[in-house]
Amino acid sequence: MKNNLLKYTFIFIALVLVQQFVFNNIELNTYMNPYVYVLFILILPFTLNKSLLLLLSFVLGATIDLLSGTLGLHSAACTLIGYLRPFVHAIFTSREDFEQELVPTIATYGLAWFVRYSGFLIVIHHWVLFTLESFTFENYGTTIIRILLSSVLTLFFVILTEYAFSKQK
Amino acid sequence: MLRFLIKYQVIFLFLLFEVLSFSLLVNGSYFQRAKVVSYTSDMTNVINGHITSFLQYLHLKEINASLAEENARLKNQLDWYLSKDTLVKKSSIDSTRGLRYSYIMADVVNNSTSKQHNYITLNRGRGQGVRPEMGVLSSDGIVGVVLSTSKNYATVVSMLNLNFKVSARLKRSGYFGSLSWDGKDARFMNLSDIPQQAKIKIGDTIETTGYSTIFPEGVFIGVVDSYKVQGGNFFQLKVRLKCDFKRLRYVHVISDFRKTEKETIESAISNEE
Repeated sequence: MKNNLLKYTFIFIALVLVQQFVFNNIELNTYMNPYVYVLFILILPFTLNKSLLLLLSFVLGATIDLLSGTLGLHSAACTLIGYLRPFVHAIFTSREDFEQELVPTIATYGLAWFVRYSGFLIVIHHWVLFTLESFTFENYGTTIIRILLSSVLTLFFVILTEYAFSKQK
Repeated sequence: MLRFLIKYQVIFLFLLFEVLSFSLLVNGSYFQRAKVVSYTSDMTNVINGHITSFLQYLHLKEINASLAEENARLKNQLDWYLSKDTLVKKSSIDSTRGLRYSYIMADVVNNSTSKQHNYITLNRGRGQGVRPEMGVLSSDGIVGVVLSTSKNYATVVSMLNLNFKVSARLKRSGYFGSLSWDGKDARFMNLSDIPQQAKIKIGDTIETTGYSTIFPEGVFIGVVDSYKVQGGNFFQLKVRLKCDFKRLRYVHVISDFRKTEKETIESAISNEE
C-alpha cells in the first residue's frame, strides 16, 4: 500500500512535468495538442475508492491548470472522466475479467481492450477540454477536428508510454 | 441527511468539483490569469529558460540571419534619414522632443502557438521597466501586448489569442479595420471591417495604425493573402503574418513616453460626452 502511494505520487509528478515541459512545447499546429497527463487517471487501480478517484482527477486537472494559467479548464475535463471511469470500465470489461484484474494495463487486459477503454475516456476528456477552450459553438466543425486529431495523438503517446513502462516490470 | 450524503457522495463530489471548475472558468478573466500566473510562473519560467536557451543554441544560424537582415534594414533607414535631415539639422531641433518610444530587449522564454488562447513569457519584468499594456514587437512585426509582470518575467497576450484585437490598416489606401485571430492557423490573421470601396490587391501591405498608445504607427504586420465579402458592405482580409510565431526568439517591449498624456486628453473627451 505504502509502495503504491509512492509509485503513484511519482507517476503524478512525472506526468505533470512531462506535460508541462515536453508536450506543451511540441506545438505542431492548432489541431494537434496531446494531453498525455490523463494517463494518470487511466492507470489508477480499479480497487480505488470512487471518491478518491474523483479527488485525484480534480487535483491533477487543477495542477495542470495552475501551471498553465487556465483555471478550471483541465479540472472540469479531468473530473468528468474521473467520474465516468467506473462506468466505462463496466461497459468494456467482461464479467470474468472484471473480477480478476485490478490494474488497467495493456499487459493485463490486452491492447484491444486498452485502446477501447482509454480511447473512449480520452475522447470525452478532449471533447470537454477543447469545447471549453474555444468557449463557443461557432465554427464547431474545426473544434471537432481538433478533438479527434488530438485524441488520436494522445492515445498514441499513452499506448507508447504504457508499453515502455510495462516492459520494465 | 448525513447518511444520504454518504450514500451519494460520489455524485455530490462530482457535482462539487464540476461547479467549482466551471465557476473558475466562467469568472476567469485576464486579471485572474495574471494573478495566478504571477504566483506559479516564476518557478516554471526558470526551467523554461533553460530549455529555451538550449533551443536557441540550435537555431543560432537562423537567428543570426534575421538579425543581419534587420541590421541592414536599419542601416538603410539611417542613411535615408541622414541624407534627408541636413536642412533640419541646421535649425537645431531638440531631438529629445521627438523621441516618443523606447525599446526594451527581451528573450522569449516560453511561447505557445497551438492553443486557442496563446501567451508568451519574456525574461524581462517589472525590475527592467516592463509594465502591463506595453506593446511587444519582433523584428518582423507586432507580437502582442504585455498582460502582467513579475519581478523578472512578463506574460504577454500573443496576437494568436482569440481575445486579442488591434487596429490595422492597408498601407496603400489607409483604410483601417480590426485585426484578430480565428484560432486555426498560426500564420494567418483576419482583418475585418474594411469598407468595400477600398481597392485591395493580393500582396498589399498591412501595418499598424497608431490609434492606440500600444504600438507605434506604421509597423509592418503582414500582407494580404486573400479576401472575401463579409456580411453587407465590408471585406474581410486574410493577412499572412511576416512574423513566424513558432520561431520567436527575441522581441522588443515598447514603452510610449506620451502614453499618459494621450490617455489623459482622450479621457477628457469621453468625460464631456
